[in-house]
Amino acid sequence: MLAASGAFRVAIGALWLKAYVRMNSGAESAAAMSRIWKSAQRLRIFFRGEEFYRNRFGRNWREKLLLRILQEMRRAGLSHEPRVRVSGLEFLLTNADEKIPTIVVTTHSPVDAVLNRIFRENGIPSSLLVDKAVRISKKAQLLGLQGELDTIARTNDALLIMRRKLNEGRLICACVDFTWPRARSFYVDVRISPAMFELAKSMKASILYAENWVSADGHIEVAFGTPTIDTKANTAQALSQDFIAWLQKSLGDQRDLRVLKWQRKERRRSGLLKLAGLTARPDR
Amino acid sequence: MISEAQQRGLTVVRDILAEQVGAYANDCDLMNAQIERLGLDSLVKLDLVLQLEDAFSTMANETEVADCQTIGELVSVIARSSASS
Repeated sequence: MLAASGAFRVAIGALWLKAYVRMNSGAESAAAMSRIWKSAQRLRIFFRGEEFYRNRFGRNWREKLLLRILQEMRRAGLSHEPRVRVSGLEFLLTNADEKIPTIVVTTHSPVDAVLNRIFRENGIPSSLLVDKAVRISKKAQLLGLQGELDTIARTNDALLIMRRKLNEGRLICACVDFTWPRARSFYVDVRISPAMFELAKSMKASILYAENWVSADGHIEVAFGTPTIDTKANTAQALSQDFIAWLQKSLGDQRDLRVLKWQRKERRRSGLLKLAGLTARPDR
Repeated sequence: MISEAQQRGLTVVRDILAEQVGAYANDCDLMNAQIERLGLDSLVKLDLVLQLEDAFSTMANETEVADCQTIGELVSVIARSSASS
């Protein structure tokens, strides 16, 4: 019943958005965006429900809403480049200036591809680990990326290809979270893969953390950070936990993320750790 | 006929992939084992390549490694890069 009413509200929201964007298609794109964004905030009841069904780290509904507005605007012939506020950019620029091999770890989000725009705008060649290259490229272009994305397919050769790209001087960016739905529940477990941390350790590469979200005024906020522990001296498990702690801090502890347990895959030889279990609740 | 270098590589493979290649008692069978069928994930494959590189004191070309279909091809690619470096 709850799911049905939530899905109904999401459908109403989608219809309204489509019609309202069409109504504003004659306006200048920044003005249209401002008007659509403000109206959508007032009708948030039609958009918030979706977070229950796409719960990655209890995502704020605004990220999904912004992406959908951009999609509708493009369909209506309005081109708009969303505004981005970046903090911690100095970490990225320092590594680039000093030519330090760098791996940026982040989590999935409707606006995560904005990171590629930041790399491009700062002249940093980058490659992105992806499941579906076409979809992510379109998303990145919606978010303001000029040009094509260099992507690495998520196969069992991915880490080797990343090593080559790092050696070629490219920055590597990867989302390290995976959702595992729970049976008969709205909640999902979010797991963090330690693979990128293992790669960074084996290559003596620098790790940077990144997170992105959309603020109430419709800006995309991006934060970069560094591990609080020594990458070389700590295990991939410790680094994964440090990343989770950084995420919670950068997002202002607005979400209830708890490390449930550390698990070890049966098939892997001992010593190779793997995934951290997290529970994320949509409580924003 | 398995060369000395290949033998050295197979020892590393058996050490790293003890569980996955336990069924391949014969070295010739292991040489012909399809990498895809061993179900290695990216971390294990990276670890395997790193260990082989250590054993041969070389750094392999990642594209050539990714093209390898069998364990024998993988060992040969890394042994060859060692010989040429």
